Amino acid sequence: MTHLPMTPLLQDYAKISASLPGVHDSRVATLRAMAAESYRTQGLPHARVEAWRYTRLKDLETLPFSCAAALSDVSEPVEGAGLAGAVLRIVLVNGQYVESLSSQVDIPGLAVGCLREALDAGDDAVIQALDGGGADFAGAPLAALATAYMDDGVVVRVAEGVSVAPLVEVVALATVDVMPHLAFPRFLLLLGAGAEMTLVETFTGPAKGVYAVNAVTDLCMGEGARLNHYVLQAQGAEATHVSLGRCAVPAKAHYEGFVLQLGAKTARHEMRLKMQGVGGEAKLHGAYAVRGEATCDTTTVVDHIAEETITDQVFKGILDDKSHGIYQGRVHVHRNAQRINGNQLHKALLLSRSARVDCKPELEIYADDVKCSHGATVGELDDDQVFYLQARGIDVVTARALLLRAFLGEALDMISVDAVRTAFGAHATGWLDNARGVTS
Amino acid sequence: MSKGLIVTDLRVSVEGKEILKGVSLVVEPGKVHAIMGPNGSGKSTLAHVISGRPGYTVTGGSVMFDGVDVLELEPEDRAALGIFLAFQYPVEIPGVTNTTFLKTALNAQRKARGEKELDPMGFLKVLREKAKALHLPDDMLKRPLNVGFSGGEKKRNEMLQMAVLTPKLAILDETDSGLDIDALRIVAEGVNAQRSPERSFLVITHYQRLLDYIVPDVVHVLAYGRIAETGGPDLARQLEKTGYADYTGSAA
Repeated sequence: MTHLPMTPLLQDYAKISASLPGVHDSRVATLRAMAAESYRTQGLPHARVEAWRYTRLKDLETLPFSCAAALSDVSEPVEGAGLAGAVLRIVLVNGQYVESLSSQVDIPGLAVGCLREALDAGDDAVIQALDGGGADFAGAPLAALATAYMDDGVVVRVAEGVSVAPLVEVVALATVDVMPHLAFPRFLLLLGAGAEMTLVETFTGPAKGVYAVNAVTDLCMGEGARLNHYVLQAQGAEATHVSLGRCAVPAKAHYEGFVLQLGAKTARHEMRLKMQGVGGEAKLHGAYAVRGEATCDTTTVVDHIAEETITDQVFKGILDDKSHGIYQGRVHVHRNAQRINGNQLHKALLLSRSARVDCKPELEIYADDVKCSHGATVGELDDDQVFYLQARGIDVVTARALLLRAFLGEALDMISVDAVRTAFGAHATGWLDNARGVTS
Repeated sequence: MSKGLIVTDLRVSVEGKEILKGVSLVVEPGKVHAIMGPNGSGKSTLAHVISGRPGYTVTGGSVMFDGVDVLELEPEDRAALGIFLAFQYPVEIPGVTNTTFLKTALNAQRKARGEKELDPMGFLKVLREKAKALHLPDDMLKRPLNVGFSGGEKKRNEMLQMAVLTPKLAILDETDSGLDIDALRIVAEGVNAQRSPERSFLVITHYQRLLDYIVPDVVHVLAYGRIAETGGPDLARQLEKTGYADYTGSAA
């Protein structure tokens, strides 16, 4: 067995693994063992791991995080992203599903359950869908760690052909305890063929205090299903946030994703899309804003496996102070994926000379009849635009805020669900209202 | 307190090079002054310095407007004072709609002047009326500011902004450049409709053509950073025949 220098976080494992759910199910036990071994082998990401080249999880390397489930006595209602209209809210506190804080579910064809129970019951559909349907831990050591410690989470099932009217929001709330802990919120969606729903994942926690979240989301879509999947990362300023989302898009299915990252000291959100059915379409857009000395990493991995699949990505970021933004976009077109369309664009705006952005588009194309594009720009606020607004009477601070909001707005406008676009827009504006609005 | 624009011995340099070498002129309320001159004579520099664009160093002289030393003010404060610059190259701003932009600008100016902000419905009504007068379709009000507008549409949009913001002094920086004759006529009509005893204009142009439609009270010729000659509308017509050769020492 390889012993890399950086394999902390498994210190609790031997002690608690016997009490984790699904312990008597050989499939779960095997998956756990593979996950623990994968984490032992990979360790915490370091600079020599290409997929993690720019992002170090320094707090996880140096602070004594506990991986044991941290129970919390949160009793007040949980706000979430502030979505207007009908919202079915599911609340996880430190990764544990809390039914008392969650909405009552009374929609035919929709079932919300606790992951622990599903594991203990040996639920076939759930177990088969975990980790991308088969221990998909390559380049994802933190997801492996999450599966090693897999305890609780939420499973949402939507029956075939059902269109879920209210927005479904999964709020993963973290709390700060005496000891810094690492929470593992896990969410699994089983969306039946032809079913439709809008899912919002909201990651949030206290503004102050050290904590860490390592989330895993698996989205399983049936043929012809339509899923809107929106992620808001609004963690506290001292938090470490790592999340991995995986979605396989089957034939004729539509996926629309958006990730807005505005918080945390170190954040990494990775979305993996497998376009595995003919005629599948996916939009994966996002925006981020980062300041102070924070790091914000958005990584996407898109596999075009089937022919005639379409993906489109637009990401925009604002970086202030000494912050560091990362966008990595990998598009892999497999040999038989002819007549596909894959576009990708990343635009970043630097508000400070000390801010830094790394953008890494990666296109790997093995088919010969494809349309792929990628583009990246890094710039500053345009002085001519600022002056134009000033010349019309708008003060310089407002002018800058207006231009920054407009910059992010070009991405945010791609959210097709009004309530989500409005709520995410308000979060972005809130971030900008706290900006100094001055370029050094 | 003297009303109107008073420029006295204005000297301006850009990156160490002197562009304006002592410009003096007085524009009284209600008057239309044209500034003509060959390329590179400093016409646009004058417009930019009065409106407060960064990048220019004033090395001497003064610019007073309604008794206020505008060179001390930020561009937005000059705008609130009533100075409007119609840009030669209007800037495109994706993500900000024309309507949002104009509402923000108007309310910012009103607030700065201690006036009440307009209610959204009242504002929209005014905006639609003024857009119609300039043959701007409603749909352009909802589009991002100047994005994808043709040259003529951008200039008409500048005139719309002027009509909504009702400045006391409007500086038109080569508003005629890039316009065909129909667009030119619409822009000129927009300006003429705005002429009033309280509002003055500084019309900067290379060509006499615009001045057929906007008949000025006074014409200045700016050459080599100085006002070389001042006269009536006839001066513009004379320049159309002779060109700027008299001022540059070579045939223009």
